[in-house]
Amino acid sequence: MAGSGLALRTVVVVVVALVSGVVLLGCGASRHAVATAGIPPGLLLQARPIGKGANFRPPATGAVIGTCRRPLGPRSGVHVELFADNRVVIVPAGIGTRPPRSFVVGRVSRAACYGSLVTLEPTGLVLVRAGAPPLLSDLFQAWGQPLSARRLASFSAPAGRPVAAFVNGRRWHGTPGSVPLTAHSEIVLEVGPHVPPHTSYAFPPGT
Amino acid sequence: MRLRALVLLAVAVAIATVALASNARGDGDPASDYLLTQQVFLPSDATASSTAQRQLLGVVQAANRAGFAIRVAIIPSSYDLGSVTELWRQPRTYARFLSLELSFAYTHRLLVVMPNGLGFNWPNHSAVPAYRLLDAIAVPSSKNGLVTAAQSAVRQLAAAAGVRFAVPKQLPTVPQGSSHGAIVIVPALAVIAVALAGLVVLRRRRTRV
Repeated sequence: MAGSGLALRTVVVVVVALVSGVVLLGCGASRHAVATAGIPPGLLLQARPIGKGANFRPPATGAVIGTCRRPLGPRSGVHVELFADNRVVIVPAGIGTRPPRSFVVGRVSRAACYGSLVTLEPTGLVLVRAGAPPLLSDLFQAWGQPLSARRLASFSAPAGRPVAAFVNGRRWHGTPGSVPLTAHSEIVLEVGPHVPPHTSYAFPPGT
Repeated sequence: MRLRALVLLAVAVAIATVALASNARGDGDPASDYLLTQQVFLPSDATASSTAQRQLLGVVQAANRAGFAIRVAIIPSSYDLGSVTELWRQPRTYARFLSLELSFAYTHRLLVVMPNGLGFNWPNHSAVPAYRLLDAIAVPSSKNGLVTAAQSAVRQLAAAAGVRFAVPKQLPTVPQGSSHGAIVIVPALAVIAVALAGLVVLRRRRTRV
């Protein structure tokens, strides 16, 4: 008798909690539906928020790679995206450039000189000088951030889940640093939960 | 049986909660990376050197200083959408997408200008009053058409909100970014649901003993 009373009370508590939860979820879901109306579901699946805090915005502190020249000269574009802990990590503007630098609306408009790979904007667009393509390890060296199977900038990979690299949407099976920065590649690096990688990027004319 | 169904329901609620929390917002388009810290996103080939562009920077800066929080994305080509080119010529949808991307750092007005029109979003606010104004603004096909349309839009939106401001004669070349807001995404409901499920299982075992 006491047992069935306890079970009944438990059931009541659980039902009340679940009803509250469903109502709360319903409110959130309808607001979510309004906010995402018309946005292709595939885009939302690949979408993650930009992480909060300094770890998600590591500054450019590394050395210039290759000969530092001025002007910038003709370049090819490569797009690099980073995800850590299910959040976006920003690749800063100014990698591979020597100070003093001038910025206009967040973009490097002038630097003392430019190395063989540079970023002029905080979008992950890497501009590479013609010739043998540098490697992703070169980009991270110029950035001043670590990259290995266990480390991605400020983040360490959880046990058994090394840093994952994707090139044009396909898994890269070598070490992350060995990915070549080939013209018009879309490179995605992830540590933590999997994020469906973008397969392409619309590169600006001239890159 | 009833208890098992409740446990399953609790787990389902937990999964739904986590899914809802994780699939919002995004990245891949350049404007989101810029608008984290900048008030205006200009196209990749812009250097903010044209008078119209500098005027736009001045207008947006003055509007924000006057308390009319707004950020503006100028999108003249699909290249300015990076990995989300599906949203090209969809300024209204892109405005919503961009707002979701930025929602952890910025929750105020967002204006998007594409060659075929303007998009507006302000989380948790109706966009209808804004579109009454914006629908009347044409985007000229001239070189600076998008920029001049954006200027008009910001001025009219601010005026409609009763905000007046003067644009300084010295136009900016390097606008200041703004600080980050806070984001709190806590799937507390999931934790509660799982905890309740565990409680039910525990109590069920006890009653059997």
